[in-house]
This record gives sequence, structure tokens and C-alpha cells, in this order.
Amino acid sequence: MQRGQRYLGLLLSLLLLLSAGGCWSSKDVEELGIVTLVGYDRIMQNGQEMWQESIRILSGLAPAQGGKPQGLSSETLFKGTGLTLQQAGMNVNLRTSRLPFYGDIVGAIIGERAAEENLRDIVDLLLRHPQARPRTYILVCQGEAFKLMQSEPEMAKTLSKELGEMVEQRVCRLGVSFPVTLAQFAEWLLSPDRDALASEVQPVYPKENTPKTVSRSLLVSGLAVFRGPKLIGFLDKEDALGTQLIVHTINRAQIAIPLSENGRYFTYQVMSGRHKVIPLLQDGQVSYRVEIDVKGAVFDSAGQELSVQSVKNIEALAADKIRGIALQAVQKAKDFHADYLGFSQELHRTDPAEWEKIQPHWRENFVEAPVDVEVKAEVLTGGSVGAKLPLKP
Amino acid sequence: MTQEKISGSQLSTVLFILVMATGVLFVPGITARMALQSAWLVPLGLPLLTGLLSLWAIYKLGRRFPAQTVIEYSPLILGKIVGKGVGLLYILFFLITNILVIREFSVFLTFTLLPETPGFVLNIAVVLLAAYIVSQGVEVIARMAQFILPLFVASLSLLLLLSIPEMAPRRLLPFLEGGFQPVVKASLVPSAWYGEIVVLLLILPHLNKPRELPRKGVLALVWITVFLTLDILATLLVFGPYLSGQLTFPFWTLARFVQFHKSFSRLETLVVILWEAGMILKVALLYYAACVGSLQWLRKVSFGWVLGILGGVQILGACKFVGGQIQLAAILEHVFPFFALPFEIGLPLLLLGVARLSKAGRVRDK
Amino acid sequence: MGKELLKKALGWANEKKGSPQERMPQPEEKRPLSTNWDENQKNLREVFSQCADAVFQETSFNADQPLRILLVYLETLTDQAQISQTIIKSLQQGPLELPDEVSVSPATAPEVLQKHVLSACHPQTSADLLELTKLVLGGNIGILIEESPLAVVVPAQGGQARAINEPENEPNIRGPRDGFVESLKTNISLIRRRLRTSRLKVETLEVGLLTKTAVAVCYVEGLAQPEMVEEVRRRLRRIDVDAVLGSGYIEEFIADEAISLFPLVLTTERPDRVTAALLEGRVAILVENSPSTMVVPCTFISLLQASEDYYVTAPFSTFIRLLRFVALNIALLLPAVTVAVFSFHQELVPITLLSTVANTRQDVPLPIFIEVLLMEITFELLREAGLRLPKTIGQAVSTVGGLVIGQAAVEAGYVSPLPVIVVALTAIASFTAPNYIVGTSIRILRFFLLILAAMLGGVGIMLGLMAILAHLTALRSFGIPYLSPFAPLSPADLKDTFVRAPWWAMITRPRLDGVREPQRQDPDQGPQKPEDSGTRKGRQRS
Repeated sequence: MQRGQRYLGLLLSLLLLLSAGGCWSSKDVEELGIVTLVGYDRIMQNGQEMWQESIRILSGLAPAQGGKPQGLSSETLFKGTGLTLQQAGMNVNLRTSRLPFYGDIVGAIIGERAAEENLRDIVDLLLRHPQARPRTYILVCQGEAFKLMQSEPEMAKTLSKELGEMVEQRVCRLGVSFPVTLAQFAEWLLSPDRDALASEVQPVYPKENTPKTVSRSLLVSGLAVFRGPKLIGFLDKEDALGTQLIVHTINRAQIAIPLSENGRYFTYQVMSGRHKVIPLLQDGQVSYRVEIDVKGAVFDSAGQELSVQSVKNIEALAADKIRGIALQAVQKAKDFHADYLGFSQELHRTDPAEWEKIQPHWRENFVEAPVDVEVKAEVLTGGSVGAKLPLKP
Repeated sequence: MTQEKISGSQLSTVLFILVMATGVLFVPGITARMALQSAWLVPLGLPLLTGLLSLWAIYKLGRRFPAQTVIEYSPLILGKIVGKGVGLLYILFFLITNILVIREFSVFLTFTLLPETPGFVLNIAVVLLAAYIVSQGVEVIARMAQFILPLFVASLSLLLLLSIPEMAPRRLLPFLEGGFQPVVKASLVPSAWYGEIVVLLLILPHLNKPRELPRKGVLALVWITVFLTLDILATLLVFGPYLSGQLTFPFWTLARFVQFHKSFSRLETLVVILWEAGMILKVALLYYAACVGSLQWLRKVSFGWVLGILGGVQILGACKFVGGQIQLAAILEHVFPFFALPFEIGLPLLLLGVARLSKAGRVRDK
Repeated sequence: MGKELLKKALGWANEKKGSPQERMPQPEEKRPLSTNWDENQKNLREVFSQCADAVFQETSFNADQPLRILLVYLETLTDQAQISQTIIKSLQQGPLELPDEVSVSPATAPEVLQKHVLSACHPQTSADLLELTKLVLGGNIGILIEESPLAVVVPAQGGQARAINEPENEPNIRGPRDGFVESLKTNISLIRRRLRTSRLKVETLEVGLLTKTAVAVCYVEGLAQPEMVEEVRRRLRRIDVDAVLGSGYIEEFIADEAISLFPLVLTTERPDRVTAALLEGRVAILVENSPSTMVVPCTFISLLQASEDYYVTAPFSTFIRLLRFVALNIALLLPAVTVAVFSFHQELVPITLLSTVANTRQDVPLPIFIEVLLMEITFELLREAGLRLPKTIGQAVSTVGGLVIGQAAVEAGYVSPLPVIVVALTAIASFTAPNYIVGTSIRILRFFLLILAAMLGGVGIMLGLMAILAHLTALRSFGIPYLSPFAPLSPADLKDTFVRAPWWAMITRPRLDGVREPQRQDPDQGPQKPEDSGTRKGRQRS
């Protein structure tokens, strides 16, 4: 009897204590400003280097008269500046009536200058921030990120959704770029044997007669290249494809590679690709062999015959072309003096003793090491027509 | 209270939760920082050995002094004054360890789920709840452990499963870079965690079949090792050694990272909440050890008083003397092992040695 | 200090309840009947004075040498037809045909009545006025005989009783439809019919100073632990109250814990359920005038099982049980989880849902916790109102409640749709609980968790759940851990928990701290294919 009462008392006091305190961390949904995209820039303001943070917050539309309440379907853009990132964030916050909630950020767009000079601060903040997620996409743009934050979506309801869909579903399959998450990006930056990459976003000015009149939108294409924590340049579409073939596994892709024979162009479509980097050591000289294995199809044959014999020929042509793309990408990396292709990392993993030796000047070692690329291209299908479509002349 | 009995499998469950509750969060980061990609080898070596050694010493002491706790038999071994001193030290050890655990609890929760909530609220809440559990006795702790274990293991396994698609086995290369030295260095902290099974010194008399201890204890240690290794492996394979080493709670970040088809993601809240259950049990168990120890040390004091005073001390200690996340992490990494290991293997071995030499207690009748 | 206050408060309550001195004096133990006819008659009439339903009927028997007798009975409790057709008739029949050695005198009259005249009615005798009174109050006919110190008592129970019908609270589809009624005898007969073994023991006790309620303890000898049965007897004997008007009175006296949020005895109105429990080595306590029967020891999982589970096929029953468990969790946790998720852990919600909810809540005045709390309270009101009202009006109440309050409040923008959906789901889930009492436990705990969730979010919910778990694991019902077979774990007993093994696989009884005959049936009885399938094929072909 007495025991029971004592414990009841304990529990009661627990409840009382808690209820007397209140609900510290409680914040109702409607008080939140759901941030979907953040942009970071370094700008000059009154002769001083400042951080500029811009955020897009989901905002509601008033429900139409008598209509059902809709989801928040548009975004509002805010920006603020400050000496530090947090101060800039606070100044953004001044403008909004809501508590910014960073748990649903799709991506962080980093402006060119910020990426060149102060990338460290951004990665530090994003990794430490308790709300920001390790799956946030890291995107870099040329020029000011705020400009891109101003663009409007063409297909989806919100820019963040459109951007998220592009990064996740399209760019990788089209071979123009690939998604880089915060976790991946930070791992690259932290590794002693590899440089980092990030996707590039570009502005686009639609001229087509789209249902929406959008003056500026954005697209993800190309890659941003870092040496250590500094942005050193961008890769165009072709180089990005080469890089992707060496760095990233490709699945369910529709990458069109134009080939020409007898002055006529036709397309080899890459559907999937595997890659392997093999460091070789000969007489104290490191060299690398890259093996790329792609599978694809030819749908746009432009009159090419697709028989057993000619397919071999096409495969050789494709392999040759892809090898060229890859070699060009490797050369680009060497020109950048940045080993974002992971060659040194591979060396480190397979031959730690050799790595020990070259570690102090590993980037130079990468630049000097000869690289050979071996490509095996396969044509798996030729579509639903036979070897050749005999159109009459 | 001495009439309460727990079974061997309950004991292994309790030990598993005792070590894993905090280990799963803190160990991957600390080991990856020192041993990089070899961190997953850490639990397989010295920590396991520490655990086994500690278990062996406790078992042997238990055989010599059946149905007695360390508080009761250390005066028999070392003489009244020194023995009592050792007893007091053990009580303080459990108390201080528990203060650290309570602070780990509140620091982690304020860091992850409840950023605006003051730490003392969580300290008080967990101590009060633990006091309630302790007052129900060790049987209740054991049964709760049996109930929590499936949830705990299920959430852990779910995370491990979901992280498989993100894993890249090449991240573990090169194997054993820098030799065994980093692995040994990184073993210190996990060893201190494994050594927490030293609470057995106080709950061993409740075991219904003390002869089962070696089997069940080793079973618990093996499972702890398996899950801790998998835990470290998962973080290494997903984030790579360099990022894992920098994260405060790599496993929590892993829970934030993994997803299944995009719609089934963001599991960290669920995991944290389940982990919290294990944590409460751990606090209760250490609290229980401190209470029982004090009761036997002081004799003739009412259980309620001891419960209340120790609870107050723990709340006060956790609120005042530990500090924030940075200080706590530093304590756990640089101070705790040196503080805990003497109690966890040093003293039990010493007691056993002296007991053997002086032939104290029941000598085995073989 | 709080403890002291609490103790004082409870102590004060104890004092108010009435000290032993105020209890009415115990009547004297014995008041033998005298040989004086008038005195006996007078005493008896005095005992039943002002009892309008007491009937005193004077008559005589033995036409040759008439002896005056007085029939006394309560017409409300007796079968009038039996009295007039059997008893009176046999008393007033012509000359008695008695064996020669027997002569009728005041001294022998009781024996003559008992053995010859009324032998068909199984009469007994009583020499005590108080005992006689008690028997008369039990629906017997007392027969006082001139100048005899012994009275003859003839059982003639009758009066209005409810017929056996299907228990409304525990309906089922395939199982038997009979349910306990208010009559103890009928109830025991319902069990006895299912358990035709002499090992089924029924012991009766009397509880209640004024009500003299009969309480029967049933168990199967050899299956129930003798210590358990003894413990039940001991706890029942300890009860000293004026009145027992239902099994609930007794339940609170015999429970293991002073205060528990969970029922520590299993109550059911189904005889099949009770019989099944008896066969697992449990003890049933039947109370006169109460159709709800108690079964001890009670485990938590048994509250989530319905007797229907055993009549449908094992896979289906397992599915239903899992569903019920999910529903239990929804009923307990959904409001709390909603509050925790939408006010603390917004990152858990997919962004589309989050934005929709945020938008619907733009113009709503109250925070989500208060909304959920108010809606829950509204629902509890509706439920209670619907329960106490006549069925026809009850339906109207639920319509008004559901339609008017739910829809109108949402459309007017007083509450957002989310809490309405949550409360509706919770309500539906809570209706799946097969045991009404455990449903009420869940209802109380739901509010407890809701408040914790509003303060600390998911962490608060877990703190609350751990407290509940500690409470549950500490509970015992007649010495059996409440959460068995989960904690302490006995793997063999898991076959009848969330899953239900097919009957041929239920080889052992639940352990219940050592049932004395652990094996229930032959282990190899699983359905088998015909031994030689070849011959069967051959037969088909031919």
C-alpha cells in the first residue's frame, strides 16, 4: 500500500515538474517557415567582404473562396547579409515572420566567389547545423547564387522541387552532371587523397512559348571542380560526361553519344556504365589504367546497318569515341591540377606504401602519371526494326 | 530485495543494453578518429579482451563469495578499513559513471531532438524515472531489458540494412594502414565501455544460476562485439573513415542519411527514441548498483533515503559538474577510460589475487 | 514531504470510511428452535415482520393424526407452481402410506416429511432459527412442525431470472453463443457442461454481511496450482464488507496492487472463455448475481485475446491479433505521436504533407496540442453519452457528435482537420480492444502520453512508455508476472500471444509458474498427407 503511494507520488511529481516547466522545444507547424533552398554568396558591401544568404521559404496561397485549402504552393525569396554566415542568416530571419526550418532543404547553391574563398565555412555550418541533412545537394554556380535563387520553375510548382527532381532523376541519366550530397562532398574534402566535385547549376532563359511565362529558370549541367577547399573551375557537358564515366556508376541512362561514319552522324545511347581505376607501379613510376565498361543501344541509326558484323564496328567506334571523351576529361583534371577522379585515392587504397612516398606531392604525381583508358562498349539492342530499314531512294 | 532472481538470459540482455546504449553512439566516432578505416577491428581486440578478463575476475570472485556483493566481500579480503574503502570507491565509481551517462543522455537529446530544452529538465526526468524503476527492483530492470532488446536490435538492424545500398567496401582500404598501433590506441575508450559490465559485482547475487555466468556473459560480450563492429563498419562504409572520425555521433548522422525509396527516410527520430529507452535502462541499472552498494555499505538505512539522496546527487552532478557537449566529449575520450578501467579490471583482478593468496572465501571444492 | 502529505490525505480518507465500532453488530451465532409451537411461530414472524413478500401458510398433514405445520417462504424467490402443485399436494394427500414401524409424532414428523412425504423434493432439516431464516432468504420453503425443534427445508428456488443469451460485450461469430447470467447455479452449470470431469472443483464461500453473496471458486484439480487456489481462498476470506453487488466489488479486494491502471483480473461473460482458462490451470471466481466472471491470474496479453481467436483458423486469428495489437498502439499513441511530430519533429513529415497541414492551420486559433486534447475530450464525452443512453438515442448522439461537431468545427475553421482525423482513427482503433477494461486503461494513458508529448515530444512519449513498461513489468496477478510470457520470457508460451499456433501445435499449457500437467496433448497430431500418395493417385485413375 505504502509503496504504491510512494511511486505514484514520484510519477506525479515528474508530471508536475514537466508541466510546470512548459514546452521548450515545441514549435507548431504553422509557425515554421519551411526553407527549401539556400544560397550562399560572398559580396562586397560598403568596401567590406560580407556573406550573403538567400533562402526560399514555402509560403501558402490563401484558399480560393469556398475552396479546399491547398498545400503551400509557392516560394518566397529572402536575402540578408552579415559578417558571418549566421549573422547573414539572422538578417534573413529579420525579414520573415516565421521561424526558419532547415530540415527540408533540397540543396545549397554556393556562389562562385564563396566557393573559391570560403567554402570551408559553408561546409562547416551545414555539417554542424542540427537541422540540415547530410543528403542536402551541394550545387555551385558561376557568378552570384542569389541570381539563380531568383529563377522560377517551369514544370513543378516550386523551384526547389524542380531542382530536386532534376538533380535526382535527370542529370545523372543524361550524363551532364551527377548529384553530390553534403556527406559525399564533405568526405571528399576531408580525404587526404582526393579532390572534390559538385554539380553545377546554370541559369536558363526560356524562349519557348511555355504555358508559364518564366523569364529565368535554371538547369543543372556540368560539374564544379575543387582543389582542396577552393573552387578552381567548371567542367562543361562533355568533360562532365568523361568525369562521370570514370567516377560515377551509370544506371538507366539515356546519354546520347554522336558517332560519325562516312560523314553521317548517328547515335550510340549509353544505358549503363561501370568503371574501374587500376594503379600500376613500374620502376617506381605510377601509372593508371582506367577500365570503362558501357552498355547501350542504337535507336537513332541514321541508316546504319545493325547486323552482327556492323555492330562490332559500331561498338569499336563508340569505344573509341568514349575513350576520347574520358582521356579528355583526364587531361582536364591534369590541367586543373586536381585529382577529383580519385586516382590517388585508388593508389592509397591498393598500395599504402607507395602512397606514403608520394603523399607530400600527390597532386603532382597525379599530373605526371600516364593514364591509359580502356573502353569496352556494347550494343545490346537496336530497337524494334531489323538490321536495316530499307527506305527506297 | 535479495530474494529477487534474474535468469541468465535476462542477465545477458541487461549487459547488452548496458554497453550498447551509449556505445552505439559514441564509439564509432571516437574509434574512427584514431584508427581511421581500421576502426572496425577495434572492438574485436582489446575491448573484448577487457570484457572477458573483467567477466572472469567477477565470476571467480562470485564463486568464492556466493550471494555476496563486492561491498560485502571486499572487507573480508582486504581487511575492514581498506575493504570498506574499496566499497566506497565502487559506490562513487557507479555514481560518477551514472552522472556521465545521464549527461550523455541529456546532451545527446538537446543536441538532436530538443535543442531548446534545458538540460536539467532531461536530467531530472530521467533520474526520476530511473528512481521509479530502481524502486521496483532488479527483476523489473531485467524484464524491461527483455522487452526493450527486440526494439533496440530491430532499429539497429533496420539502419544497418538500409545503409547497405550506400556502402562502398573500398572505403575500408587500405587494410590496417599504419599497423596495429592505431587500433590499439583507439581501443582505450571502447574498453572502458566494455568494462561497464563490472556492475555484475553488485547484481551477481541475484542471478538464479550463478554457474551460467561465464556462458551468458560471454554471449552478451560476443553480441555486443558483433553489433558494435557492424555499427562501426556501417558508418565507415557509408561515410568513409575521414568523415566518420569528424562526426560527433556518426551513427545518428547515418540514420539521417539512409533512406529507402525516398519515402521511407529520416529515421533518426525513431532511432533516437528507441535508443533513449536503452539509455533509461542503463541509467536505472547503474543507479541500482549505486543504491544497493550504499545500502550494504551503510547498513540499516532505509532504501527510500538512499534512493532519494543518490538521485539528488546524480541530478546535481549531471547539472553542475559535467558541462556541455564539448566538455563531455573530452571527458569521455580523455578522462573516463583512465578513471574507469582501474575499477573495471584493475580492482577486480586485485581483489581476486589477494583473495587467492590469503585464501579468503570459499575455496572451490574440487 | 509530498509523501507525508499524500499519506495524510489517504489516512484521512480511511478514517472517514468508518471505524470498526460503527459497523453493525454481528448477530448471535445460534438461536435453536424450541419445541414450543407458538414461540417458534412468533419468532419466525418477527424475523420476517414488514416483509411484504414473506408468506406464512398454515396447514396440517397426516389426515389421521393431524399435525399443524407452518410453511414460510418468500413468494418473490420461490416457484409458486412447485409449491402449490408438489409440496402442498403431497402434504395434504390422504392417509399416509407409511411403513409399519414408523409412526407420526412431533418427534418423528421431520424425518417422515424428509424421507417419505417430500422425498422427491430433496428436503433437509434445520434446528436453528437463523439458519432457517437464511435458507428461506435463499429461496427455500421452511416448514415448521408443531412441537418439533427441527424444521424441514424444501428447496423451491424460482422467481424471475434472465434467460441465457449471447453476451453483448463479447459477441463472436463461430463460437458458442451462451453467456453467463445472474444465477450462480446456471453459471456453474454452463461451465460444468463443458468440463465433464470430476476434477472440476467448485467451492463456494459467502461474502458480504448483508448480501450473503455466494462466491464460487472453480478450478481443475491437478492443473491449477494448489498454492494458487489457496491464495484465492485466503484473499476471498479476508474480505469483510456489507455488500457485494457485483464481481467488481471483489476484484478490487483481491488484486495484488493497491492501485493499478490495468485490470489485474480478467473478467468475461463467456463460459467458453472461462473453461479455456480453467484448462490452462487458472482459477475462476464466479459471483452470485453477476454475469461477469473473474479469472485469475491474468496476464496482459490475455486481455488482448478474444475467445473467437480460437474458433477461427490459425493464420486468420494471427492476422487479427496482430491487427489488434497495431490498433492498440494506435489507440494509445496516435494523438501523442501527432502532437510530437507536428510540434517537435517536423523533419519526420514529408514536405508535401507538412505544407498541407501548415496551410490548413493558418487560420486556426489553437495550438495543435490543445486541439487534439479538446477533440479527445469531446470524443470521450460523446462515447460516454452514447454508452449511457438508450440505444436509439445513443445513435442520434453519435450522429450529432460526428457530423455536427466534427464537420462544422472544421468548416467553420475552429479546428483544423488533422485532429479530427486523428481522433477518429484513434477512436476506431480503440474499439478493437476485446476487453472493455483494458480499453479504459488505454484511454487514461492516452491522455498521460499526450501531455508528455506536448512537453518533450518523442522523448516525452518514450519517458512515459518506459514508466508504463516499468509499471507493467512490476505488476503481478496472483504472483504471476503481468507481462509473461514476454518478460520474463518463456519462448514456448509465445505460441499463443501475438500469433496463435494451430491447435495441433499447442502441445503445452502456458507455464504460469509451473502448471502441474504441462503437456496438453499428443505432440504428433499435425494434419498429414495420406501416407502413400501413390496409391491415392492410382485410385483416382482407376
